[in-house]
Amino acid sequence: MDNVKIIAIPVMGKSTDYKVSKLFARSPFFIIYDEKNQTIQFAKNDYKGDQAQSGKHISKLLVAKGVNVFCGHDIGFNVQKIAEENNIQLILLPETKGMMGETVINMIKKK
Amino acid sequence: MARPVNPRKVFSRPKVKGFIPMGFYASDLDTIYLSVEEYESIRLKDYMGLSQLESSEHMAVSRPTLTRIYEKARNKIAEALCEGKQILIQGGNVIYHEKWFVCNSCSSKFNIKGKSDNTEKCPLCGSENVVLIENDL
Repeated sequence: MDNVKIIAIPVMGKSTDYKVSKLFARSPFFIIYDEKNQTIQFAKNDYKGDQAQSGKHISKLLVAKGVNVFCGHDIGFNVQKIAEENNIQLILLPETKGMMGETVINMIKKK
Repeated sequence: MARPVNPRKVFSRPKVKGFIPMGFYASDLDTIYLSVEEYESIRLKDYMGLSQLESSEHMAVSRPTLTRIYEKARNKIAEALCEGKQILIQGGNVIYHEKWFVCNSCSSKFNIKGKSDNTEKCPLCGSENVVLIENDL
């Protein structure tokens, strides 16, 4: 995959100092990291409290923002489905570590 | 001659190879073999909470076929729980949605869309020490 990666990372608050959310679709905020320009944006998840289909709605919103990689601990079925339809790569972070958003970004920067 | 069975679509490999019972009456000699397609039917229907129709579409089988696979899986799990038998998840006629790799450096898992020559780099840490999950299990 040689194209520019724009990565969505679910975090618990509007800063890179917050922990990565355990559930992708129920995360309050997303870090949108542009690997080429090394820029960070935040996207608020207005669907996190929805009873159903929150994964579907937030995934479509992230796709509309140009995201092509979803990175998180637990990625649900609806998110997987949208990822499959839009050719989006999934990265599942190790479950045991309580990673901070900044840690993930630093790992991507260093590689 | 009977029609050959179509392979079932599975999202990814199960996280573990099986389950071992504990306690005085536990027996690791008696084994229940749960196929990967049976595991997937339990994952989709019970864990993800999908309907039978949605699950069948995801696995590329008809709804009655999904029902049969699911019933078989439930019966096997019930037998293992009640009789204290171990469960091994293996076998089955399945194809995977995409290739999944695990990075031995940062322990993250990632998928690859389209063709891959199995010499991938971890998208998170850049390590080349990655293993194709299908081959690993």
